[in-house]
Amino acid sequence: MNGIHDMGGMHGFGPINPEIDEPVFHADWERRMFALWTAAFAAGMYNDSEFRFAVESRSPADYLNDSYYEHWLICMEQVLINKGQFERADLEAIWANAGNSANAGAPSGEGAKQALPADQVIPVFMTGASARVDADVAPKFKSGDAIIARNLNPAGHTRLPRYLRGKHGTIESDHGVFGYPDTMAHGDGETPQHVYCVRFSAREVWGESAPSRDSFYVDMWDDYLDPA
Amino acid sequence: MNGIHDLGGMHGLGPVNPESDEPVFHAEWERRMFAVLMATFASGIYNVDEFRHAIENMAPAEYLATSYYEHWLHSLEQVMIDKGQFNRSELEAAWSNVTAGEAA
Amino acid sequence: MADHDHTEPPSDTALRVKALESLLLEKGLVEADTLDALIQLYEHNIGPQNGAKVVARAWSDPDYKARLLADATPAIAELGFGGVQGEDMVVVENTSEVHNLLVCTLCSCYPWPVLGLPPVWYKAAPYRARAVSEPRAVLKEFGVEIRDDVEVRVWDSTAELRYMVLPERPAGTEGLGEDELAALVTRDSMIGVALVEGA
Repeated sequence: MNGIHDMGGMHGFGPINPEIDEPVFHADWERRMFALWTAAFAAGMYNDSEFRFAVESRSPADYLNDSYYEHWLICMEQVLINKGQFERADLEAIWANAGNSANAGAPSGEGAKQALPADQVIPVFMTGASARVDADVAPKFKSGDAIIARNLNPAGHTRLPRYLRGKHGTIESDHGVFGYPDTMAHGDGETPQHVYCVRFSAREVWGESAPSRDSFYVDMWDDYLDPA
Repeated sequence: MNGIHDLGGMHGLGPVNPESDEPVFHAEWERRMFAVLMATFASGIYNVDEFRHAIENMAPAEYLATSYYEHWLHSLEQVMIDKGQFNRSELEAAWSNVTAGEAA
Repeated sequence: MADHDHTEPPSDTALRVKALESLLLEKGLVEADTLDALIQLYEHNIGPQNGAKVVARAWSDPDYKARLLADATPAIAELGFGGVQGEDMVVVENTSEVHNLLVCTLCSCYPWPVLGLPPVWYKAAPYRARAVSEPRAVLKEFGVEIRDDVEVRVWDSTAELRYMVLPERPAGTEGLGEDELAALVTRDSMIGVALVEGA
């Protein structure tokens, strides 16, 4: 979607303002939020594409005003409700009870099978799960090919940024076959295809005022590209 | 500038939500804001492009979270300062006076 | 039957997180020990010190550097690093001709196994918007000036490949061992917003 999250090239955001010696977490609730999200992700409750789309779908004002982990909090509630893991009424009951569950310490039902055990944290997180798909799919392009990034404007999730649509580039390399986020975000399957590293010149993207030497290297799926 | 105001084609902004029988102004301050803007514009202190550009330069989060006549307010304050019609201290003093007057 | 009133969430974010945690624990969807283990791993164990070791090894061992640049994932794994958000790594080298800068304009993609969790500025609008349109101005804000005859390459992490910059080795460090070299390498230099200073 052409959401506020797609901000490459936008003006008006001001200075970057890095914090010196920034801590990993700024408050205990951020620490807890990170752990909750990551545990639920590892238990397979949502995939990256689905979750990203939920964040992208927030109202632009909320997206800009809320902090990073607030996005995770609000979207995680919504995604888990959408997935039927609990109902809004369950959350509301706890909100009404100062954040405390009436059934604390008594896990029950189907959910208990899904949770990642603590002794699996290191093995699971130090291995990860590559987005590569083992599928015999032919590439449409090869290194050196001239391409044009398509002018796609889907309402759903995509990883083709607006600043590159319609721009001419060159295939640098083929990363291999991966799942396609535009379908994976919406439960429409993996649609495995090749992902390429594509080079764009800065002048191609921003015009003559850009430095002549500078460039972008961006990963693009087959379905984002046409031959030039 | 590729500012937040350049909303053409953006998704995620929700339904249009037109108001039935919408009044010209929703509050007295909007009425006053309109009048002040028109009067200053007519005096030629700034042109429409300067006025628009000051709105475009608002922080994006603020732009999205504020209403139309709030944008006018923000822009006019900034343009007047830029044109040397008053300075920020004078504006802040006016804010203090009004706040004290309200409290009185 | 009265209409169900829509309850608003707590305005205090900490309370709202506590509520979500309570509900997930109640439903058995997460375990308390797991949450603690995740915090330990990502707040204390994994961090840019990992990437610094990779850089120091590459500076010290030309064969390792060649492996790292050709296929980063197994080379990084040689040092015991890898996993979530780094399953498919690419390392890009800064030289006298090329300066690399990493960004994720669309969200916050970042190579967790070698750099830990990203800082706020990397995930926020100013960097995401400006790193692609005015990288040299962004670098200048970080105190780095790149000469006109050097190519600035901005890598926008749109897919699941995760990137790390191999910064240039500073002059005058020829005699240093790997541990001493690693101590010089900052997180910011592996994103590309800083250069590594000599000892």
